Amino acid sequence: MDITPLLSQQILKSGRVSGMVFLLIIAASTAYFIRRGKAGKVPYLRKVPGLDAIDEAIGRATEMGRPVFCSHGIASIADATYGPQTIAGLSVLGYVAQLCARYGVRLIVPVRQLVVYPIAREIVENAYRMEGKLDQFRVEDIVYLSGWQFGYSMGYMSLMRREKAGANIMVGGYWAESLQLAEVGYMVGAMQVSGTANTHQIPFFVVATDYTLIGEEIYAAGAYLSKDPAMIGSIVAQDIGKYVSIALILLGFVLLIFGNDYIIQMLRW
Amino acid sequence: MSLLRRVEIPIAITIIFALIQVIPYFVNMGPAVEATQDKVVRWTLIVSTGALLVGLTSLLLIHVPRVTRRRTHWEYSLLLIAFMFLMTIIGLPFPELNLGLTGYWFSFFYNNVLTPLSASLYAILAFYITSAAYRAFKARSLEAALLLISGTILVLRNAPLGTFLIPQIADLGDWIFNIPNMAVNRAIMIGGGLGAMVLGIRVLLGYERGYLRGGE
Repeated sequence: MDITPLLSQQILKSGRVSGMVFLLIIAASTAYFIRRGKAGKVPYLRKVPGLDAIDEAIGRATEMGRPVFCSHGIASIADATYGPQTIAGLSVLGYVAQLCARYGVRLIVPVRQLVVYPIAREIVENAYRMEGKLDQFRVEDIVYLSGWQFGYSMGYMSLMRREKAGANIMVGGYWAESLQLAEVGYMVGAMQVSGTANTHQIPFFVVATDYTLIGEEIYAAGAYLSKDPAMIGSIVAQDIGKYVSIALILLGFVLLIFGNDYIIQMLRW
Repeated sequence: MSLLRRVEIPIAITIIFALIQVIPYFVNMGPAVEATQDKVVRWTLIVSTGALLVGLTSLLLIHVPRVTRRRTHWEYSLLLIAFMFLMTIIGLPFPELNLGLTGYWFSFFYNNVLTPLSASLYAILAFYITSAAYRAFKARSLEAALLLISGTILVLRNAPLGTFLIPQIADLGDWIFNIPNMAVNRAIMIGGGLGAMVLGIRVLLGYERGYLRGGE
């Protein structure tokens, strides 16, 4: 396909065409598999132990009479690169809040981003409302700690020690504070479920917490926990994207061996 | 249901503002649309600034009762409230009184309180890394054994004594870091990128509602 006329007329932005095509493929696949899911053709979804462990962690905290901590990372929801991790973390928060309300266990939500604070509060409050336990909702347990990274980390660690966390669920974008939080969670004897797409923090979570959601698993959390067929269907689109990526990598690799860099040039459109 | 509590309104707002950002990223839409795009980004900053009040309220809601009721460690809460107001006051833009973000007092507290505290808290990581590594470096399974072996090689590669005693460890460490580690990193990044893309599309289509009052 020759896209030169579109570029010469400056309709499409140079260097972003391949990204747009890829986005359109994923969007079309997502819409298609959502339709299929709604029609009752629900794809098989492998078990994600980290997400299944959330119920166990909350149940354990309930038995121990200790609070559950649930955080959604320190990234702003408005951030184009890391914001989706916060959205994924908030989806998990909704599920955790609902279970906590059902079991009558205290839920503490440490927050770093001011913009996310009202959203987190609304999610938790609504979960308690849906369970018919709005009277048990404590607004002071949705805690804004600090906008400063290590201020947040210190506040979070202190809270876990002071309140003796029974479970600590951390899903979202985390940076240097990840290991501090996970280690303190371990020290206070909390069952911990963690998840991030920040590759440099995944090893810390893997060694220090009981279950870790790696990369793409956190984005599937909302769909997995909701058990909504349409949402589960959309996860297949992720696999389509993977197949396309693998095909491009292999094709590019083979062509490059024969001295042809067509795939590299194509990705630069 | 009250109009303000209807979930369709925030979904519609999300879709409109997301499209204002996404479409001009790929397609030249002309100066008017790009100006709107810039304006929307500035709105984000204004909303973030307005949210400061929310944070202030949250902090006071937690710490004032702790001080007034003399709960455990109430002294720290008092310190927090005092410093919060102190930093707000010395950050006010009155240069003639040596106040403001470039004034003497703000710089003094920033350089002598916040910076050393940041450095100390970051340094604590070294101890946490040690305790986590102590627990993780046990060959209980094949995966744990591989982690133990590669971790040990990289520790030796980064320690001057390691490369002094076994010079070949430098090449081996670099190979582990640059080849298998990088391959896995890229695989996770591709998976994460795709996941974020599909999540974004679900948000745009109004299916991902977890961030909206728990989805209801």
